[in-house]
Amino acid sequence: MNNLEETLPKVAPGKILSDGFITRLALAIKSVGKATSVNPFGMAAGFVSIGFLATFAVLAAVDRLDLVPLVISALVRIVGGA
Amino acid sequence: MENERQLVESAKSGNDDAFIELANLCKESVARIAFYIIGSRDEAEEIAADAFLKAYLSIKTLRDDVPFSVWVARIAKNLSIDKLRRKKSFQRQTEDSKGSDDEEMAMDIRKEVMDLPIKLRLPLTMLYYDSMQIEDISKILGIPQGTVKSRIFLAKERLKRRLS
Repeated sequence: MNNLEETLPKVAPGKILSDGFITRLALAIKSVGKATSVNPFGMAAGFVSIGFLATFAVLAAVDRLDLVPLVISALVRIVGGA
Repeated sequence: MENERQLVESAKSGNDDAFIELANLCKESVARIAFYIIGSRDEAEEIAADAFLKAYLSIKTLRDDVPFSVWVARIAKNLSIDKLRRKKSFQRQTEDSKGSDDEEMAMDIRKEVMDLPIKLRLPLTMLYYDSMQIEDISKILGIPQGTVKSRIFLAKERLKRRLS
């Protein structure tokens, strides 16, 4: 490998992000922005909703949407301090 | 660059569209940094989204002398390293498509690059894959420019040995 400096740029991995990344990001930003402007706890609420959506997406990806009620009841117990 | 400054000012004053435009300008470079650390495109995309959301929530703390792209890249780097630390074992995704000899050679090189330790891999990929300036790499990684250069040198030496 004599000209590594010339070869490396040619083997750079292509596009990383999937199509629609900016659209999804814009939606998330608008929802976080709306939450923060509505109430002082909006920022935390925004993160919680993102976290919940992410959990839902993961469960959907592994085809275990049946666990959603379990997750919700666990969250309720945590928030309720039980 | 002037356009970026105007967009940052506008985003700081609450213009979401300006922030989204800023994100659009540097989204791939931010995702790439996460990818070079994590090695998975899906996780790199998640980290890029998290980095932009974190940046959005703290845009007012961005100093005037720090470019937006460098700032978000630094957030993405920190998030990626945190995520990597939390992982019990790091299994790199392998690309399973078979292509021409050139493509196979490219895959071999990419694999060797991904096998380098992170501290050598990051500056090397940022320089050669993304054509970033040493100064910017130094700012994103938070290390002196001399250290960036020496790590790139060490990375290249190690790669040459492995690929020879």
